[in-house]
Amino acid sequence: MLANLNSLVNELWSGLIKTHNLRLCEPNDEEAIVLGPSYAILVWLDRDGLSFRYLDRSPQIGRETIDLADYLIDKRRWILAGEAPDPADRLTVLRQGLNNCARTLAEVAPDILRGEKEWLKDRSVMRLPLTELQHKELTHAITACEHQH
Amino acid sequence: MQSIIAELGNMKSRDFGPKPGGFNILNVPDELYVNAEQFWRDFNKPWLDAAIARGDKIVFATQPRRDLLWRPNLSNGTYELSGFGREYYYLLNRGLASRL
Repeated sequence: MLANLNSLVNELWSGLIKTHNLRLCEPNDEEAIVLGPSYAILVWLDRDGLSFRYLDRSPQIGRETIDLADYLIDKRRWILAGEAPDPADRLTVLRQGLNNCARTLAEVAPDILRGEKEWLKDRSVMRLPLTELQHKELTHAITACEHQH
Repeated sequence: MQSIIAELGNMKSRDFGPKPGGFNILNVPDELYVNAEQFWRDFNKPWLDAAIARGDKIVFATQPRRDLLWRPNLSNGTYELSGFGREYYYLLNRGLASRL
């Protein structure tokens, strides 16, 4: 295992989580789920690195996600928290990706963190459907997380 | 693809050899991944080259959409080809995939 994603999210997003009253769920080492008032941010780690997917869960858990980093870069502004790291240093790359995303969300997307949905009316936002299996597993993980707290 | 891998039991392997009557999925151990460029050079491209040399049928399990072919680079806020994007354009340039 190259990195425990949940430990990194817990460490690097602690300020964001506390300030915005979010909740971190820990389904496994390669996925983290951050719950907001009516949405979830899915943090996934795969061969391309980190990805952040927004999942609306109001009135129920949706069947599509939005690539949050893509949206923020394209429609708002991506904020860099420091110099670009050596691409071979995977852990530092992960840490910086999480730091950049946390800072960007806090500075240019407080409405999203508050659970506002106006931005979702923009139909140009790319939506990625979840598979049945993904939806089932996410529903299970989110429900279990809600019951833990 | 993640669902397919999950249902197959997530078996990680470096065996890129032929599987008559079966199929190949690139799913090497996590420890072998350093970054996207290294993974493409050391594993992904050789895996595709082996399949092309054998004349395997190559089927996309994912639609080649723009948002899947390109992904944000979180370190600098630009866009770069995703692993899937590299595969798609590599096959497209060899006449083994259709244009979008």
